[in-house]
Amino acid sequence: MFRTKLLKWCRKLHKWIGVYIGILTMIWLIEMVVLPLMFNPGLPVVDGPPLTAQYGNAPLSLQQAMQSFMDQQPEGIASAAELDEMAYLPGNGVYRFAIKERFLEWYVEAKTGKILKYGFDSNRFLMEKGMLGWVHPFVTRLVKTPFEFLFIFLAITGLYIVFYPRKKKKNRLRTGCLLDMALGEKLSFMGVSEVTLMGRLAAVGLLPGVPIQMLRIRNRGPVVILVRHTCLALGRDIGARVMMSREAA
Amino acid sequence: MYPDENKLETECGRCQSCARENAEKNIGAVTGKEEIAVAVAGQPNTGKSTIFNRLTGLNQKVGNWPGKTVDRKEGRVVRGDRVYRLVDLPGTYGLTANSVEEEIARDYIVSDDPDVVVAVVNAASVERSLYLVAELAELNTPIVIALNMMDVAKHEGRMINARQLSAAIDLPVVPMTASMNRGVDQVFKTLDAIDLQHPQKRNSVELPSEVRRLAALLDSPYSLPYPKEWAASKLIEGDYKVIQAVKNALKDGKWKDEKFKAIETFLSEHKEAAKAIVGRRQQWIDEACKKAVEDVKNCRSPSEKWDRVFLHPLWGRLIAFLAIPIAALLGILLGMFTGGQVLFAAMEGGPKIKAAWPGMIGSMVADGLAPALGWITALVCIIGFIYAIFYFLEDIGYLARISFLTDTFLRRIGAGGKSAIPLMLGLMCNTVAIAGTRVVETRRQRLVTIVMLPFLPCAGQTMVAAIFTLAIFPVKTAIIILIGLTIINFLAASLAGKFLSLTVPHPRTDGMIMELPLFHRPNFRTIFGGVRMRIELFLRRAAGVIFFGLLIIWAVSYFPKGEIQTSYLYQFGRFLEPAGSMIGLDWRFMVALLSSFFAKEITVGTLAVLFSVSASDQQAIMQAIQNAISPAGALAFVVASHFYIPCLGSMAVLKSELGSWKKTLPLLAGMFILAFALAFITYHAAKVII
Repeated sequence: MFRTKLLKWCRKLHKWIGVYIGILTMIWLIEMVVLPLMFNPGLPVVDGPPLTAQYGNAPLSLQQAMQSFMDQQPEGIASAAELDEMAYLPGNGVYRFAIKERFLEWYVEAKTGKILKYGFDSNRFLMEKGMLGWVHPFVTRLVKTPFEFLFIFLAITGLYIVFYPRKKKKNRLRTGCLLDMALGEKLSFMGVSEVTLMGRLAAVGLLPGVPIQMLRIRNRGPVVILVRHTCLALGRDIGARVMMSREAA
Repeated sequence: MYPDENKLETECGRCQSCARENAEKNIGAVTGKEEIAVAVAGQPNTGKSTIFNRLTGLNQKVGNWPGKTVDRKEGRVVRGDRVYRLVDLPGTYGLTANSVEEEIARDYIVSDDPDVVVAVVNAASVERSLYLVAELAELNTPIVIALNMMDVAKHEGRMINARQLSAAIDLPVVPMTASMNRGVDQVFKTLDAIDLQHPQKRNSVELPSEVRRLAALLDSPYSLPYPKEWAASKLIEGDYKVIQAVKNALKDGKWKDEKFKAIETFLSEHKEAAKAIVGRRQQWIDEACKKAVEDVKNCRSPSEKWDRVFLHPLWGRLIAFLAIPIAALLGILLGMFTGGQVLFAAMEGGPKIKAAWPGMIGSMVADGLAPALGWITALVCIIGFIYAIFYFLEDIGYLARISFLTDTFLRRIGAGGKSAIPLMLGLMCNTVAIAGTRVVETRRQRLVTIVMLPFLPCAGQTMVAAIFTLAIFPVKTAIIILIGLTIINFLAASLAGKFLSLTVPHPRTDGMIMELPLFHRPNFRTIFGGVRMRIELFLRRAAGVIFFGLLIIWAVSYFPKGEIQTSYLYQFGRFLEPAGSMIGLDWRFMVALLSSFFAKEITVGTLAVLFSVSASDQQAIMQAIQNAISPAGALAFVVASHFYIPCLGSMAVLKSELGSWKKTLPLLAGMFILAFALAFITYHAAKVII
């Protein structure tokens, strides 16, 4: 009994966590395509490690490098005042100039002042603005915080379902109610026990002997049947009360 | 015919609608022409309203059925020596009433005894539509069958031979396609040919002998307001209303106890008779269709293809949840680009009017009359466009699909699939939506839907919230606040619905039985007819309240000395200020909140008056709000405005639908307390955070 209940809850949780993660993944995938198009001003992507310059002569000073950088009229920047990061990377022998707010970077050879690589930092951009960060940073935190915990839970419930799969009922009895019909199956309507419901169903064309074709049936929600060229949606409570003849119509 | 009928007429003659009806009836007598009452009846989705619109043209009058909030449409057509008074009855599947609409249609046909019934039958599903005809044929009223949607039947691969159908049931059958105006004149020709002096010959359903035997038991000097044989068949079929009528007759002392017991005994002994009645009707339909209907094999319905997408559990829901807000937004935008321009023009002209007529007259015209007329024009356009879009979706058969898709979720909170449409309408106008809950089948589900609706923000409330949040916060934050608030509104509505569904007794309801109509081309005449009717009803019921509400606000903000700083409004606002200070609002915002009682849309207009800026100048209003209120106070105002009691129009409809002030007032009091409590929490929490 406990195992059945646990399995039921595992399935439910697994499904809904899966839906949650699936939606987030969809959002993430869409953002990966759409957001760079919206935010990138048309510069190349600058992802990956910075280039390493040739060693030898002493590097230029920051002012000299800046002057050389601006002399080359780089794309995406109008004046040096826009830069909010100017750093020397001694390991690579380059200067990095960046406008952090716009995710733009330029790598300048420290020795010659020549621009080696420049463009849009899409990795940092997606880390900061992805997963609804473009709406508000708080929204990202709200969405991301339970993500890892839920992912672990998804794995546990998934494993449980794999090890204890639902046992399929063998020789399922056909009780003859509407909800037991398979999709596309065509049977004859037999009747209902309640007089008032009988009148109501008769008015919409459900009369004894009339063939019914099942058009839509799911695990929950109303079912759709075809009765005398009319599509009817019946609630499950009604469907459970409608008796069908076992002979195919 | 029945002794009770006289009493009913006398009682009914007192009310205005019946007095008007009687006066109209006399027109025929005055002009010397014979007046013929024609009931246009039919099952839902048979094109009944299209036929009615085609038959009557623009000669229509819209009103309410006496004592009900269901629309009643009537039209008059003069042909030769006859004046036809056509009444568009609500759609009904049969003469057993399962909803208020079906009860109205049934009672009009059975008790009001029209001279002729035009029974509209959908040719695409003729076997199903003929069930109502089978029931009508059991009465003595002459019938003309309008076999509509012949074009749809052809598309669906069905060939209907109207002549053979007419010969089989011995009733006149007019094949027609009302949407294309085909066969409409033939209906009148058939009506002209009907001889009302002699009973119409027909091949009616032969009911089982139990019906006649029970009818004999009903024989008494004091009879029911129904024909005896018909009442007997309905008693056997378990029609709740007819059983109630019998019980009421017993209560009035007209029948003896023994007689009722005898009826009860008869019913318990002949339970199978109901099956026999239904069986006979089915036999009648089958015989009628045997020769007249031919199905072209392997013809696939185009609706099936569409339903794969529109009824898909994921795509169908996605489309529905996108389509409805887009439709609503489109309606509002179109309304603002048309009627909204009149409002802006009226408001911009204010200073010029004041300059031309200084003093009270100028102020009244500039600040009272012109904005009031502008608001009403804007609202008429918005409501018109919204209804045009929704009628379009309904006419092509899509709204029924939305009900189907939302049934699973709504049933969990006590409502039903059919509640989806009023709930979605509630996001635009609560007044219209509450009145529209009549489409919901069971009383319990309707009650849950009605209680949920005031918690949903209407377009006016959303507009107020948008202006406040945009005035105080950056755009992104404002959007987050608006979305968050709407989610809270939905949660509150769902909780209210769930709470009510748990407390109200849960009778075994008959659940959802809904037809999913075939997709077909829209009929713009029907759509415009519906829009015209809605606008007419709005002008009659709500426009006056809004107009005078705005005038009252102007008056209390002008008198006694002609300036707002000494006005009654100011004094009242000052009186309320201590309560307002608890949620960070000064007297002006309290007054604006109070004025929203008349219509949510006038909140911003009131603030414009109080800040002495032009109501059309959104920037000026936003600037004034920015200077007058703190961010925490603005949030509290938005929360209070979203949960505050509904407007006057909604309250009137709410009372009418709930039946009494005893049920309405606790709901309103609950909303008022909730609004204040939430605003209080929001204000103090926001003060800490911001």
